[in-house]
Amino acid sequence: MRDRAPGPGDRRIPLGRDKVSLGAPLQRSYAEEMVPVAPSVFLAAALILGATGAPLAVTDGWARATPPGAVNGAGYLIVQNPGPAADRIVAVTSPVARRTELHSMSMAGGKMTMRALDEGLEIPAGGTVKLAPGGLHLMFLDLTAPLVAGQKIPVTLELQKAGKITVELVVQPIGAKGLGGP
Amino acid sequence: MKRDLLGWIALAAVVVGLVGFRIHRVREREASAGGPPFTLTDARTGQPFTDQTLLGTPTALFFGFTACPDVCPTTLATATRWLAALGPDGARLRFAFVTVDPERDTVERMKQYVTAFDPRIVGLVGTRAETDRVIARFGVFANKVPHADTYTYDHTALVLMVDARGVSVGTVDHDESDEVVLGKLRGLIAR
Repeated sequence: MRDRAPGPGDRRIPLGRDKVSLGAPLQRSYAEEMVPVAPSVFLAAALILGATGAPLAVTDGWARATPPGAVNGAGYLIVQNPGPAADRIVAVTSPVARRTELHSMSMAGGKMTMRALDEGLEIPAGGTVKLAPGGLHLMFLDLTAPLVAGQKIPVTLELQKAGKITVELVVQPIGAKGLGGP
Repeated sequence: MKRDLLGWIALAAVVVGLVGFRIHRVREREASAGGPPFTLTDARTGQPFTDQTLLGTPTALFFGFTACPDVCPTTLATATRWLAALGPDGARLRFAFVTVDPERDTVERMKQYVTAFDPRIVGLVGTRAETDRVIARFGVFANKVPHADTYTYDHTALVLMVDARGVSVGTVDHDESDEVVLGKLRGLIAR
């Protein structure tokens, strides 16, 4: 499924946990330069963490299986921000698609309207933002392969303050309206 | 002279009346068949699906496109559940998915796509012109929206209930309760 060569758009951080990661990964050359100052960087990071409180939590990630021939897919998750400062998802990447975007969808008078969120998505301080069918979703454009129920797909959210967070979405059957089947 | 003029006016009145009546009759006939004709292709069989195909069997019509990631697959998966729940009554109902995006949705792609759903759900593909005729006939909204290097469609996401005369008689929404939807569909079948 993930036999595509890694591209510049899908740089991912190795993660033991599936919830949270703080700080963007460092480029190797930069990291090497930074070795002597690493302890102070860690101290600074710890202070920032202490100041902003608990990190963001990304949970309940799932994606909808795609019918054969479908070129796009949709994914959903919940982002909680227990901290005192708002954060913003500014980019999303996944190796399953050529491009991943944040979209809003609305239904009015029986008419479905879908738009890309060009300004990203704000996660308010102390707030929870839910991506769910019929509303906000991750849009996988140009899937490299169909999404198959049961499969787990990695998605990296890039936040303005919290940096990159990689989570796994569990692919649910086509008719699913949430995590855990139809 | 005056008499001639009156004669011409009378003749003109008769002509206008006859033409008007004729237009009225044509409109009436079109209305009784639900609107102007169209020809699409049933992607499962490769056979034509026309306005005449609608006659005799009630049809649930849904408009969308295969690159639509949320409301389209959800509605078709939900329709699969409705057809199963209708039991034997479901055999007297046709469900058709019409693409509003024939530029990307070829017959071949649509044929693959509908295999994910109930075998009674047919996938319909037409030329741009025929697609626009169907959209107009059923008063459906479909608007192409450019986006970066691609595009999407804003579109009507209700399922239209079309009776055995080819006339649209109501809608169902995949967000309505199964009980409500099944009641409406049974009503359509019984018409």
